[in-house]
Amino acid sequence: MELLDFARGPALTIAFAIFAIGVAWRLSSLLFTPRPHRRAEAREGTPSDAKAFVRGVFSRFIPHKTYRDVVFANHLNAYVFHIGLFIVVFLYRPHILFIEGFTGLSWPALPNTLVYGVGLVTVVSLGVALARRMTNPVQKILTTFDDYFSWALTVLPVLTGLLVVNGIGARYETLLALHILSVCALLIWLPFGKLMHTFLFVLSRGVTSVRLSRRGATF
Amino acid sequence: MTEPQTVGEMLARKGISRRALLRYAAWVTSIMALPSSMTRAMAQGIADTKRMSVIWLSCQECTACTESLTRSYSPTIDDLIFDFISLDYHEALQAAAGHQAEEARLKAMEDNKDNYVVIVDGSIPLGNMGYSTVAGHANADVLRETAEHALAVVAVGSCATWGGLPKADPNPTGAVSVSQIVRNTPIINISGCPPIPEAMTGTLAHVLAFGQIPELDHLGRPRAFFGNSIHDRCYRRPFYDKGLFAKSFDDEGARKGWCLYELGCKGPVTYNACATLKWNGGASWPVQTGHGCLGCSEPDFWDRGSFYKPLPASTEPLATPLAAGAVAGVAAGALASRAAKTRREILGAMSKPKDAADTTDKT
Amino acid sequence: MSLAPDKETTDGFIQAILAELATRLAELASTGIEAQIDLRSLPMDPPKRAALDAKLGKGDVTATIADRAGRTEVFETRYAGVWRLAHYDMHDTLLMEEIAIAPVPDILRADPTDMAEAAARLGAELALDTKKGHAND
Ligand code: HEM
Ligand code: HEM
Ligand code: SF4
Repeated sequence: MELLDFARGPALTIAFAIFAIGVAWRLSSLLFTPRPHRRAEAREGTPSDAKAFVRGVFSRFIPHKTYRDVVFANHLNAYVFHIGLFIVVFLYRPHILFIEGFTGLSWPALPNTLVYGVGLVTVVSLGVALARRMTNPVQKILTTFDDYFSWALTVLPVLTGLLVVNGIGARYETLLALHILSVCALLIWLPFGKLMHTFLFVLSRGVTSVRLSRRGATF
Repeated sequence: MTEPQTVGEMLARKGISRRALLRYAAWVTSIMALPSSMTRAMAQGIADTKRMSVIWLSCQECTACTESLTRSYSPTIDDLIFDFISLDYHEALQAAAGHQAEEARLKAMEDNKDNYVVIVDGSIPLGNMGYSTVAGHANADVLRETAEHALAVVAVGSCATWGGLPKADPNPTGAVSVSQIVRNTPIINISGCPPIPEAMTGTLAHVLAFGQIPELDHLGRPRAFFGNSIHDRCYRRPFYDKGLFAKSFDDEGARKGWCLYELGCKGPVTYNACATLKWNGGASWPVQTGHGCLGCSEPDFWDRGSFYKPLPASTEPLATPLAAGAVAGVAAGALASRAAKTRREILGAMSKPKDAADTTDKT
Repeated sequence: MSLAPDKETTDGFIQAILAELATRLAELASTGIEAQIDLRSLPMDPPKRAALDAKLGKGDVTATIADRAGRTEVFETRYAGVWRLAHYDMHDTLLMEEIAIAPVPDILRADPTDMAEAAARLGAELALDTKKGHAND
């Protein structure tokens, strides 16, 4: 039980702190960066910045028709594991109870067995993403250590979670401790690698959209 | 007639036939999940041995363990164990007192050197030896002395196995478990507050019949009784899997017998046989009465937050590191971009015309 | 008792137990090796248990063992060498049930130690009676 006590106590506390510091630091240092002077005139019919920003954030949820056929399978797969992650993290009763424990917030959950199924699909889907990354020549060139590491830290909590509830490999409390420690690793890494896209996708999409809109691109 | 030499002879003399012993062995084999084919060997083993000399030491305890084992209000099948053992020393049950009792203990140790079993209930105070003594001797000293030439020490109850309630934060008596005192004698831990009587008697019967300690888990507990978690064997488990949870002790879910996870059940991290053996001869058990498992057979269960807090709800106030971290992060970010701005202004002042073109591109 | 297979006996779990019984019984017949099946540790709901009992039925022999420590009900099923045993404690609470595959279940046999003790007791009683008889002369 000692490892579990460590995971539940100091490990989670430290991981939460680093996660919060990291995310807040990266976001605030971007937001506090002064806007550049705009020396060129915007084109005729340029939307307001706010409008362009919001459009950019949302329009990218669907691939542009130019690429649709090429990336369709990839894109679909990315949706599968992202939605899977969301369901597993936020619609599973033990997780909601965990969040309720420090926020006081609670909401309905899905049946546990359904969540296990979604977890399995998520693992498979993440596996497909990795396989593609390792076999597609172009993607392979673009891949860095960060991509592999981020992938591993994403899949580990789901894998260990599935081990916990199925009692595979060790006792429940040992597996649970590993599950929590894998979550801690994910939380600590998230702000500093590519997983920061969780937050940065808003800024990068929005800002790109504002900039290109001024040059006449439509989103 | 001569004194009976073996348990079998003694039982025959008392008019308890071998058939009763076989019935008992069939039952113990079953609850210990041994192959049924071992029934005969177990009955034979018990019949052929001498009665086992048992010395029972009580330290800082509440006598619930003894109460659970003897269940004096209602004799049951496992009371037969008292026919198999010779309880040579037990502070609560023996008639002798003071020096007479002490002599009985020393004599039993002498006569049965390396063959007697020591049962301990209660934790051992190390803070001040005076906290718990028997006939003027500190618990720790008596235990050390008695355990040295024992076949095995059976720590009975969560106090003897982990330190128990006396060890709860802030542990005023400096209480420790048997395993922290006894070094060179095998220890069997039968945890629980109190432990399930069948787990105690079954283990003793196993030692008696086979002269061997049953298979133990990593905490020194017999796997037969502590191999599965409460959650693994809980009859409410289908509701857990379906996500049907009682939200309060008297809501519709509670009445329908739904899972007690949200009401603080510690079944998933608790290893004991309550769900299969139940209590009071199979009458009922905590979860069946509608109350979540407290986790009483696990180390330090009383120091792991409220009994009524759901298991995943952290014992740490996790909102604090989140909020403090966010504030610290924003402050760090603000300072960093301020520093960057200053640097850029200085750089800008140094190379004015070239820089202007750069910044427009860097949106 | 109907011999036609009903819904319960075609259930996979019951089928598995019956298959096991058949194997063990054949083994007993050819080699004399006895076996037991512990019904207590097999998860069976009441309808399944009833179905199993209905299938096994009752044969020629029924016996009750009652002693100071409890009671055991034994009967042979419709299949020779397959016995059903139910053990109770002194409060008549059911401890466990089992199936024994044996010519005679162990628990019915008299034990050598018990027999030796009985012989000694009988001898002593006889001696006492003889003495009493002489005294009456
Ligand atoms: C199918 C996938 C998953 C399953 C089956 C699963 C299962 C579980 C279970 C059973 C608990 C335990 C609660 C307890 O008894 O205390 C738990 C706790 C937790 N899980 Fe997961 N999990 C999964 C994925 C994830 C993921 C992807 C994350 C985060 C990225 C995560 C984060 C956590 C956290 C933070 C806890 C709370 C720790 C605590 O109990 O104190 N889990 N999970
Ligand atoms: C709302 C938040 C998020 C958005 C909008 C988002 C969006 C994206 C997008 C657009 C991609 C590229 C997919 C592609 O190749 O087509 C991606 C990849 C990825 N995301 Fe997210 N993401 C979010 C949150 C997260 C979180 C919380 C995690 C993990 C903890 C995560 C893990 C990943 C991983 C591992 C990849 C790379 C998959 C690969 O190897 O190809 N994402 N995300
Ligand atoms: S009541 Fe407790 S032990 Fe039973 S299923 Fe629910 S959580 Fe598990």
